[in-house]
Amino acid sequence: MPGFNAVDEITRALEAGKTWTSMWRRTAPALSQYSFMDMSYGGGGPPANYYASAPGVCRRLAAEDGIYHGPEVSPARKYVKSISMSGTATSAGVAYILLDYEMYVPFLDGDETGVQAISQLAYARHTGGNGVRLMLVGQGAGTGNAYFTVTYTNQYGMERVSPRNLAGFSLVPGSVLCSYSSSAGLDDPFIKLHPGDYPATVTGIQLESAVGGVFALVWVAPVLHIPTVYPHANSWATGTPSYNAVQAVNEVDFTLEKGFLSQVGDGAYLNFIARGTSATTPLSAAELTFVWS
Amino acid sequence: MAGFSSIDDFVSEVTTQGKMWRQDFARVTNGAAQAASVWYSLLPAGGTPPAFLFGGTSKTAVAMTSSPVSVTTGTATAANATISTTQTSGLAIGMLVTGSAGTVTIPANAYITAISAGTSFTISAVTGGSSTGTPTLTCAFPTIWHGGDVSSDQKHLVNLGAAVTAAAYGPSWLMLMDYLLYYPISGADLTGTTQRTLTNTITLPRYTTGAGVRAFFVSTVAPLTGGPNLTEFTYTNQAGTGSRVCPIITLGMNATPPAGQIPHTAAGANKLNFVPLANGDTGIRSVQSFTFSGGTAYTGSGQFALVLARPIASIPIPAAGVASERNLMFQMPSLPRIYDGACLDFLMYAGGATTAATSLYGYLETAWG
Repeated sequence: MPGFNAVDEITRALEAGKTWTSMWRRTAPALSQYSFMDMSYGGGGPPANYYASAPGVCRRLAAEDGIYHGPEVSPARKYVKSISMSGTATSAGVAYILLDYEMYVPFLDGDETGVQAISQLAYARHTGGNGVRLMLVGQGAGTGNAYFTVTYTNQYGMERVSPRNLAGFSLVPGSVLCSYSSSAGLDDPFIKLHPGDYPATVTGIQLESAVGGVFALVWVAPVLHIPTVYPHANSWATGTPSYNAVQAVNEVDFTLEKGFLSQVGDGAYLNFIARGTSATTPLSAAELTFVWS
Repeated sequence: MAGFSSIDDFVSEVTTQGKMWRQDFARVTNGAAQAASVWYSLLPAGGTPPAFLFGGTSKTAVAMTSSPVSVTTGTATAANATISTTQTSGLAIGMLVTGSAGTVTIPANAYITAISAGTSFTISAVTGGSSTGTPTLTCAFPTIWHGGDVSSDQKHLVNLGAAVTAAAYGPSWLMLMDYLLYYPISGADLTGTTQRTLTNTITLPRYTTGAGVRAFFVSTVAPLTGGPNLTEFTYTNQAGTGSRVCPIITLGMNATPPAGQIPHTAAGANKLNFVPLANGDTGIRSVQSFTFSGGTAYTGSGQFALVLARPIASIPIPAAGVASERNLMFQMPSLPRIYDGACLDFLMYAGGATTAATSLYGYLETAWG
């Protein structure tokens, strides 16, 4: 049966070579306090993704352009076994969320207050939209905040209009627009749908006011969360309970420390979104190990 | 039963029977400054163990072993010693570690280009010798010693530690590899843009099915100019199925990669640390061919090696001067197997631009039972 039914099966899979390790590194985009940034939007390894394709047309990202997780393994199942995240002091206190990017629609118009129709592709890995969240990523700054709604069909086939969501359209390109600063209503990187709903099919998006700029609607499935650790000054001089004055490494072995393994489907484009506790330009790097059976 | 049946058994084997080895190592990272997002093999870097440059006949497989191989025939003069290998099949040997030649004194760490079975070679820097004598050498590849062969016991990596000193440094990772086999790539085989067919008389010495074995190129002498693409890579997989093809058509090679650099790693598109596997595969048993084409062909007298190696463990080093330690029994339970003959050494991922010739030091501890 695909997947793991016991811990020792993971060890056997590693011994059998059913594993792949890849690196991730970014020095951009810059983070502002409390806002999430789409780290695929910065250069490094893997290369930058600017959602640069035909305006308004739904597209997928290629797996090999994101964090490479090895060959396709179906009918086996692949999981994130462990992650090791580090950086220089400028990445202090950054929360990272690893995402499986399902698809996106680029260059939606921030001046358009009518419904912008969306023709969504079929899901490649999340049938019915199960576990999928939506986010807006800025591609060109507008002038302020605006409410918007998304029309969609949920996993039960019901046509729905989302609650009013607020987004900061003036943010720099690469920003996740619904997580602007600490303003009320802007506390979540993902678009709020009705409770319990997943977006089986998105059919449109509508802004309540024209704010300018362009943005992408992105379908993502969160895979895992990991923060980096804040570096304190020397502990013995200041009494701060830390061991050194440099960046630490945050390592998680999901089998041992979390009790679960997050699945990564064949063809998944993987990358991070990140939120800083202060304005910073992080140099962050991570090692991710995948295992399958 | 070989291996450890319990922690009690481990303690008994290690403490009562002394079945443990600690090996310190110290490398000076490669002579060119290391660039962010780029991987390096530390084998061509100096230190302890000494540098190794993957010599041999272009495109012809050379297997690597740390099991000492004795070479007992040959002649010696005051000026040099000529050695003929007694092997007619099996592993080639490549590096003098220790040895004496009758009344001939062999300089420590004399470098011998990798040799194939049955060939002869000359040590030209003999000192204090006479015109007679039968050389007796013990040879092995210069990798991190792990305590030697222990069969019928079973050896495992238990602890690993490392630190660096560098004026400039970014968070980096070390990946301990068991180097298994390599194909030297030189001359027209590096500068050419047509398919290169490899010679596989010699096969993997460990992980013989190829499961978990990864492939990468490493520069040992920088080409003069150029930077082609790897546009074809055909291999036999872990099941013995040939004609498997790397699914990513283009893997870009860096311009003039210095010794030690893995030239298909960097920030940006079409860069990966290992050559990707075809869907459903878990490793590489041998490589049949590759093609460098597109981009700009390499020029000059550069030399690469195409290496097959098995990842063993990894360890992050977050900052210069900060030691990292990894316990693989309690902290990250895995106890990776170390096979007889394993050639252990590191790949290094540079998380930031790092000063050239940075000192890297550390240790590993193995145990067996």
